[in-house]
Amino acid sequence: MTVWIALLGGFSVLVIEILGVHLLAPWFGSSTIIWSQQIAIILLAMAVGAWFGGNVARKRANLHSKLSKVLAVAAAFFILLAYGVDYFAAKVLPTHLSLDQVAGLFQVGSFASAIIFFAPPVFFLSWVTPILVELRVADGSSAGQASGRLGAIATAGSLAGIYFSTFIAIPILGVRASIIAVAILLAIASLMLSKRLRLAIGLPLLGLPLLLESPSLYANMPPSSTLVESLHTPYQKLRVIEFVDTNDGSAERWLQMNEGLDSYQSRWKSTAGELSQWPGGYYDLFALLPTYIEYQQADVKPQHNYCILGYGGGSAVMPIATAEQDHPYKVVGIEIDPVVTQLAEKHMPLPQELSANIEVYSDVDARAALRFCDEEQDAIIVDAYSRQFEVPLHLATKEFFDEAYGKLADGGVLCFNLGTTGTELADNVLGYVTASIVASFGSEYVRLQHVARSRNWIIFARKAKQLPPLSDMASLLPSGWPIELGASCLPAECIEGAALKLNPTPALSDDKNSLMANQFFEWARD
Amino acid sequence: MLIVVGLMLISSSLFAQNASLPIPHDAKSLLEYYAASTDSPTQQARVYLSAGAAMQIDSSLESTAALSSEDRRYQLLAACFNPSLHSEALVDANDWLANNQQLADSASYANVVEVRDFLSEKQQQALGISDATTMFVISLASFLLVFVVIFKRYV
Repeated sequence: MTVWIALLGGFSVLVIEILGVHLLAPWFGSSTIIWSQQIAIILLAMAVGAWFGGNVARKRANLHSKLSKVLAVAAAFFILLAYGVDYFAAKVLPTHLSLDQVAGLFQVGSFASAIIFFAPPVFFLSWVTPILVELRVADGSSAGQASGRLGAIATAGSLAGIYFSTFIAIPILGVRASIIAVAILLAIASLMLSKRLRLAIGLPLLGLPLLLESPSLYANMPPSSTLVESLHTPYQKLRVIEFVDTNDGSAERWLQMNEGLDSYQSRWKSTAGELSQWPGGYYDLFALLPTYIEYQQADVKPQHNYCILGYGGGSAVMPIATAEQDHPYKVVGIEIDPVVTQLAEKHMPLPQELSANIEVYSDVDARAALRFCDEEQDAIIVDAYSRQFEVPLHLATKEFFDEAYGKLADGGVLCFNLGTTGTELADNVLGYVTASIVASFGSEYVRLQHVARSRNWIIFARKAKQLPPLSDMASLLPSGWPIELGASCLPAECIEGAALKLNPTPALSDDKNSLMANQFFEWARD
Repeated sequence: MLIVVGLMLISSSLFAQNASLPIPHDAKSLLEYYAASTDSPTQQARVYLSAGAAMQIDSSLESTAALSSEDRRYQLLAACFNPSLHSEALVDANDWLANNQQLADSASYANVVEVRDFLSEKQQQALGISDATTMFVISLASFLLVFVVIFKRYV
């Protein structure tokens, strides 16, 4: 019995560790800071719990009874955790917030939620090992041997908890159902110790509230939107939402991740049932790529090869296809989360005729995938975010941009989407990422273009050839393209040339990278 | 991932009656307008505003030696695109409305009222966020207090 309880204790703690962040993600996101905070609170609760557990165990009286009660209390906190986080967050959080407002609020909210809901069960579960050790010692084992063996068993349970959470809980059982299941296991163990196992017959009733819709489905919904589908993946929480304009029958769908708010991962527009060529936002600027690729090339290339790192729902493809017109092109898309692509295919499909031009590879990291891409790419689009506003650190270093440079054909273009509050090159996210790109490509070949009505910049960097001067863009662009795309080509909306040389920030490297802290403090400050 | 600045304070009242060039309608015509523009800086600001080019608005207005009070509103509109300027812009908008009562019936005045209302809503949201933050802290403190009291009593 002690072996199973030690196993269960270790298992339960890691389930909270992993699934806890998935419970927080729809409300507060899952930024690196929030992950770090979650781990820190769990470890603190374990440390304090182990200390108290040792004091309780030292008294040696009624240890079985104490262990039974501890497991029962832990089970009760698991139930509270499964249902309480959503109702707590829904009650306190204002509605219709925007991403630039919430960094500080989400930091405090996730901290409070973790202390109230995650710390207590972990605190009590940390009493288990000291009590079990004391029971083993009372049976004649040495303290060292007992603590070593029980520690190993608990760690094995933790390992099982990690794999259960990732491969069973999130994709199959569901986050809340899994937490309830663990609560039931703890309750059964408690009842067995107190020899009241017949009471276990009522335990499945604890799962009844699962029949109710979770408030987290509608967490942070933008105004005037409706939910189409929502689900959790091992990487994140995803949902598709829709905006319908009843006046002209147009519909817009967004694929959102985690806390959603007014931000999207992919975007899709249709009018009278027909998919728009222009998804809007920064995607429209990808239509500049064929112009940039072909500028001052001796011969027109027979085919343009695009590699999109962070393919998402494929929103980048429509403006590229529009700009390419009848010119042959091929798109290789890399997307780390396969569910993103599946969800997009279901609710935000691209026209069938484009599918022959597209290959998508999932479950693979962008940088690792880039190494296996064919040489001679004409454009590499980097549109990868590990969290809402966090560019993955390893996709923003000089070493990464050197790799991208090596994969581009002469005159090929790197195209980097950067969401940031910065509007000038300084000791900020914009400064650091730009410096890293300039370090690989050279300042004379780089241009930053601000995306109209957003806080995004697209950084274009061309391999060994100049980009077209802004003064030539009017003659190079065809008619009928969105006016906002033209706005991004106005001089005051661009940073290039001498301004890049004055950038005071150094390039980021794989060894030394302050981007995570920069990103967090930039958004928290705003 | 795109961060949307949810402001679309664009209305026909933005456009002057006597523009020297046709109002651009797409990317190409906007860039041609920029290259050829002989319109007044304020008319240019209107055009760039409608295209979402907030930084270009500032650039155009900088070249104006003496900006009229009525035209100063374009700087307010440009500030709405940058959330870090919202607090300052709200103060400026209220000052503008107080100092331009004589324009109360004009489209310009209505435009600035729109801006003021938008920025006020953002300010209210900020207050709501502050209240929510306080509520989280109070909830946390209350929980810890209750937990410690119950723990000391029963353990």
